[in-house]
Amino acid sequence: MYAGFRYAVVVLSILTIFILLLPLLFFAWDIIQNPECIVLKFENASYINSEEIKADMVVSYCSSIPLRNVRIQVGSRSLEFDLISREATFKQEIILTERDLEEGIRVLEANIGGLYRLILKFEKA
Amino acid sequence: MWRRIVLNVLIGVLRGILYYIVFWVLISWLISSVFGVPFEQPLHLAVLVLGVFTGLGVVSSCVKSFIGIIFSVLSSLLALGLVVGILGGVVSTRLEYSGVIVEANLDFTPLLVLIVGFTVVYTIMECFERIVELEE
Repeated sequence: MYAGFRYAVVVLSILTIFILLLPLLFFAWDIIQNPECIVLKFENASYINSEEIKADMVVSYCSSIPLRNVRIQVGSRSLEFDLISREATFKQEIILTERDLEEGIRVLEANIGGLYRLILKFEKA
Repeated sequence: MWRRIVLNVLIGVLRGILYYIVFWVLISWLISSVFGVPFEQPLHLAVLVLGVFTGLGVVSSCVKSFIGIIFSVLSSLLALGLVVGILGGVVSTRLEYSGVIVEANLDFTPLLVLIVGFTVVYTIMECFERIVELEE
């Protein structure tokens, strides 16, 4: 009787692991198909004083797997989006210094499908 | 008598190899292929793990059932130790793209927790099975 339960547990574990891996596999597939899946743009930039620039950061995303708790660090400033999903653009205002703009995007953090935390750190070679 | 001993040793060796394949080869392969990160382990460590799993498997199947339970549980604990300790829940890689070095870290703790959970459930069921066998 217990042997049957054991095999059931093995089959259930393989199925559950496969289901849990699906968001990651779909995300990886979408990124491979379209390397420019996540597009970050600055729009409506304007100087608010001699050092600081106010701009809208616009994020568009192509994958069917939503990204949650997204944090983007530009220079020393960071901004957060609760959810970024497919075929929609997300806009948030950010105030940057010229130095921040020179440094560009340094960190991108997101939860893939709300499950797997991905952290990308960018450094100039 | 001898036939039974040889059969028990064979069952133990097969059980040890199965644990080695599942918890050393298969999970490492799964992590490296799904996350696209090379995952290499030193050969001497692989041989040591195979030896310990096989040894525990043989002892578990050769001794009396109520003592064998302890060695089965030890095999599972070693497997959990390998999964949690060596894989660690985070994979990292560095790559260069258009003159920018990108350091990528991916936390796959949910997957790891699931594997640990199912291993614990499987071990408990194996123990119950042996206890039932013992009572019969």
